[in-house]
Amino acid sequence: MKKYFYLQIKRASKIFPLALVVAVTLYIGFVTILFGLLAMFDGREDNTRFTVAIAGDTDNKYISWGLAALQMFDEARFSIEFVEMDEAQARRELEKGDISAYVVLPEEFMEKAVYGDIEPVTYVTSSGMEGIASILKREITAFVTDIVVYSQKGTYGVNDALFGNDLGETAYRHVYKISLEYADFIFQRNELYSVNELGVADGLSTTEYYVCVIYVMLFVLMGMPFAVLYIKRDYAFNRLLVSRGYSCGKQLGCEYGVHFITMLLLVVAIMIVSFIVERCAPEVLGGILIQGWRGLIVKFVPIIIMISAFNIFMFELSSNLVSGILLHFFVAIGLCYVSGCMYPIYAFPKIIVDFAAFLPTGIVRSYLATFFTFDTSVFSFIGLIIYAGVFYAFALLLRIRKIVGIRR
Amino acid sequence: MDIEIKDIHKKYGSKYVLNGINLVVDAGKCIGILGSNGSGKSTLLSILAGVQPADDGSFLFDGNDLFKYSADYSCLVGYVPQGTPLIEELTAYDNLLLWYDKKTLKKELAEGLLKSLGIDEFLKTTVSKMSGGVKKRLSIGCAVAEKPSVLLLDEPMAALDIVCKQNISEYIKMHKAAGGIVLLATHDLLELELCDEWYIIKDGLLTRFEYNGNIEELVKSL
Repeated sequence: MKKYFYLQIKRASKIFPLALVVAVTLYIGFVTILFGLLAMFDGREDNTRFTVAIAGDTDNKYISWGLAALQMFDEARFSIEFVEMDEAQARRELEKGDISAYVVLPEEFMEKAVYGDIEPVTYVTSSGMEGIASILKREITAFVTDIVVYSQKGTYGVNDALFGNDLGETAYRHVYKISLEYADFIFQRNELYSVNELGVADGLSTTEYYVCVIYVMLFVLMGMPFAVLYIKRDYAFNRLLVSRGYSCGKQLGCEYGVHFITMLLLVVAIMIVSFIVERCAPEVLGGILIQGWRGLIVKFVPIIIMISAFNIFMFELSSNLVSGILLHFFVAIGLCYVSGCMYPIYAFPKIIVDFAAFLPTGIVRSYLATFFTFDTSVFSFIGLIIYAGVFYAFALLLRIRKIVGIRR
Repeated sequence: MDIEIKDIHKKYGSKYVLNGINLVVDAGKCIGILGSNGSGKSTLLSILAGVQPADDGSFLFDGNDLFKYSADYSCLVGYVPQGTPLIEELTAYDNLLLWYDKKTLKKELAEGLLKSLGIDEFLKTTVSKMSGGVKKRLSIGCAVAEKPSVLLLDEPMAALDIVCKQNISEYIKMHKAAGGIVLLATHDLLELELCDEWYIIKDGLLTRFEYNGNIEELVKSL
């Protein structure tokens, strides 16, 4: 079998330059799209209506009035719907994706705020909803500013009333004190909130999520140029091999082994390009493509094992190059789409989300996510190995069927 | 040296393609196997070559059942299937390297079988750039690497020009003269001329046919 393996390497080396160009082009294309997505993320969410839960100390009647006013009169009602619930429920709703964020008001928030004593509001959002943070900051700031402006008007109203009742001397002192406190309150209002992020998409930030899906799409598509080698119209050569003692299993094993090696080499090349991208534009992705990915090639091995088996299966499924490439492309893109590679997975109905978790691409995405979360779960690793075995077994069955199912 | 095919059965689904094939061939003979498309010619040759198993029957070589000793196939039986049993992206030399060791290959190219097939002229040519005739000669060159006694050729001259057919005819005659056995699945008249005996596969059975150059009679029998 050594000779057959050697000749397969020789064959693959003829296609490798083309495959390398395709892989690098795909990678650069995906990274460019990622840059674009991240740059326009905030702007796109400005046009979206979000549901935000208000939790914590909401008993104060002024808070209730304020929320009612926001819902009915404030401009915020066009972009944000506020609902009241307790913090535990808000967290559950956020994890399910039913709300976009929740705000936790600390104890006696309003009472303290009136006296200028600032207790930060905690704002919790999912990773995919970073854009809402800026909207909410803007709305809260506007809300507080309105309170201050109208309160100032009230202060001056008090001032006028005191003067009108012959209490001008005390009015000056009281109004001066109130104005100072309000000035203090306004200057500190940017400390009214703090933002916490709660990961929803496998616990990843938006950037991390999209980096993962870039790699998923890259892995399933970059093997396509090898279709030229592995899609066969004629199995005469394989029949000759069988007649000379090279069984279907041995043949496919050699072809799979060589394909695995070439895919691994492509991944190494991609990592080099990745490193260059990081160096060229560190401020855009903040080192995320390489940072923390030590021993990355070794970590990628289970994915390459599965994807190589998937490719071999897809190649074996077809007997025509054009239809084979098209089939491979559409199956790969379909799997990527359902697995949340084109839209964040939480944008899909729950049943699709649950289903996608068991698809090959869904498992690859989950496995990649563990690189960022340092999750030690072996579910995705086992899933990859099982899929690799299933794809390989099906490819072998097809090979046997094609060789033995000979024209009469 | 002779071969004996005994009671070979093969069915696809519920239909028997080969329903008790029996044949005895002596050394130095070329047997033509005829039949309409789908009659089972290629199936019979692929079973004899060990590519697929028979449901029943045996293939005896000098009294030894090759179905039970599959390790002996590669040295006793040479098989050229339909199509191109070559790696298209590689050169003739690379393809030959799969079947020959370097020393033997050099010798065969200089004065042996491969020289007689005229392969030495195309060693550095990529298979995908070769003509059909050269590919077929190279296929035979690959199949006979271990100098097999029995040669199974599945339509070896299909779609070849006269010169190529002549080359392959010469090789078959040479193989016969050396005491080898050739089983030829064919539709080609020139190939029929090479054969010493003719058999027709019809309804899964092999029946002897006396070919005397009368095409009309042959067509009626198929």
